[in-house]
Amino acid sequence: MRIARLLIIPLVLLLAPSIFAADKDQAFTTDKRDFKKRFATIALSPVDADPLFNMPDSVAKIVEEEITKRLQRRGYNVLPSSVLAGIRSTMEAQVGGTTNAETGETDAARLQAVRSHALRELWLQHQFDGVATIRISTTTAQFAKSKAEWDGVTQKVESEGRDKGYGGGIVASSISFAVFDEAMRVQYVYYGGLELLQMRVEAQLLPVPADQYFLDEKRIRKAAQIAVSPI
Amino acid sequence: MNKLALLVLAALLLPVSVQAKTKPAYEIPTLPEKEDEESLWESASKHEMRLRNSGTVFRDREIEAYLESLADRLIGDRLDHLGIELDFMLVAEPTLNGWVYPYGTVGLHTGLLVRMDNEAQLAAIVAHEVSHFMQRHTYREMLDGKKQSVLGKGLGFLASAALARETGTFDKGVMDFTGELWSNLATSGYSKKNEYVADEEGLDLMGYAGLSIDESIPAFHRLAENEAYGAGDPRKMWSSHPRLEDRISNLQKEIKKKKRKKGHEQGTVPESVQYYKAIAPALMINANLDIREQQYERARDALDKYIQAIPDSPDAHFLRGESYRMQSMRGSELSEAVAAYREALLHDSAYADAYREIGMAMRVTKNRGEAIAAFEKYLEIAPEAPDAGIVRGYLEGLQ
Repeated sequence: MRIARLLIIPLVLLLAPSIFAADKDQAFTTDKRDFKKRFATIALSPVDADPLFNMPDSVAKIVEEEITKRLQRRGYNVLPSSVLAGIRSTMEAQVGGTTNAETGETDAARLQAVRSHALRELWLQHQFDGVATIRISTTTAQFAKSKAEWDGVTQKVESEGRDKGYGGGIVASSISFAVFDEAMRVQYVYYGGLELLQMRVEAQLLPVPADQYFLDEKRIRKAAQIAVSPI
Repeated sequence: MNKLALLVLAALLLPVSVQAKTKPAYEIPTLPEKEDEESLWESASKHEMRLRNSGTVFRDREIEAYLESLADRLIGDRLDHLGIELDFMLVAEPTLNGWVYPYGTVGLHTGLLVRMDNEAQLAAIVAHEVSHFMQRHTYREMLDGKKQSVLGKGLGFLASAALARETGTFDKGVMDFTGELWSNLATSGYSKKNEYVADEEGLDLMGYAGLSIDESIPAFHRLAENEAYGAGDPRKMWSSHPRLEDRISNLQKEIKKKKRKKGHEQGTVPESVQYYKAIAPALMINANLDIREQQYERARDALDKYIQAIPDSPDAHFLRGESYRMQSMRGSELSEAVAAYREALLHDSAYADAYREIGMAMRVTKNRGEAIAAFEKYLEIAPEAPDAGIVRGYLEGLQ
């Protein structure tokens, strides 16, 4: 199984995001002071989300805006994701698209070619020091007494029926911000809690309807701020 | 003496009597000896099958035959009466790990094969595992009830980590289905006493095979190299176990003792290049795995060994170039990458990817003419490549 290098994240990051969120110093795989010296210019990749979120463009815009603001305030040069997106778009056209016209399926070889060349082209044009991925994904929050807590945030667990003081794990979403060096080695990763994706009905946990996602702009901005807060 | 006192006495004596009854494989007429040992073998066999079906095991008949012949030289005719032949299972995994199932199948990670510098060093590890088998240590541990499970220490965990590389999730079933026993199977997982027995007997086996016992020291030092994996990576834990250092000290003492004995013969240290030839496919597989894990220096170490064995391999030279290029697209790394790509072309003048990468590098260093020439050659050889359109775009920009 070949995986695009960009997508290779150390196994441990996939397994336990919350562990990393627990301590801001652990966000860095390199010395924090060294990080600031080494990564003066950070190129952003377009905000990505698990397909289940069906993320509107407006959400991606808010997330990137918050992250950019924070990074710039801290003295980093930020290349907006539109630069990489533009290069990718040109290259997709050059290879004749990344979807097989006959089957409608993704052409993995072309997609891989575009991803690999686009990143190298971005580096050639802008000589960035690090490339960042921003992703919205699911995680598990712990809740007790109708209050869930994860990745730096808390949220009331919506419930119907009598509150019997249940506790345990509940599905939630978080925003991750990860920075990779030129050799695609992860140098920083941290998570900001976004919102709960389940609600309690009596003794059961049921999914929050998808049209209820991303309604609270404050939560989106806060999650993005937390994801970059150790930087 | 009352009943309780008798029970206490029996309990105190039990481990001693169990150990006394569990003779080494070369002192008994048949294996497995009893029903409980047979069921241990069955359970181990299930683990082996599960690992074999995980997609991480690779078959290479030549390497297996080489390892089998090495094992034959180590054990001589000691096990002939049992009709058991040792065999090997190779796992494509860049960490250094080796273990033995109780019926004599030795599992070795490619990372371990690759990090050894000669046959004697590999023999030190294999002899250690063979000794665990001959001494029936897994069975003894089972009887002694020493099933202490320490996360990250054993085969089960490492096997699970290998699976997780493929699937993206930990399959705890591999770790748990035989209870805690398999989490003890790696070389650091047996009791201290059994590890020392295997270490010491391993030296004897090396001596029988005419190999230098001194080579066991660098071999065991290499086991600590799993440290190269980053903090937080579960695979790092195995080698960082402090007992490894204790064992090396013990080995050093044992080597001194054996050398003082009358009639001790200094064994040989076979040529490294012969060893690299014998394990060449594992070197290439492991270099690819290391590159996937961004362990570029380690990848180059494996490729350098491969090139010593097979100097005219264009793939090895190209991959060496890639290891530099992926490490950095500037400075000395880029120059080294270009040199390696050119070396690949010396051995295969139609190696399209090498032309493309030279073109990319020349574009970075603003050598317009050379970039154009390399890209044109790439498109001439691979006009239908998935990225041909992109390379045409580069050419248009350069012309």
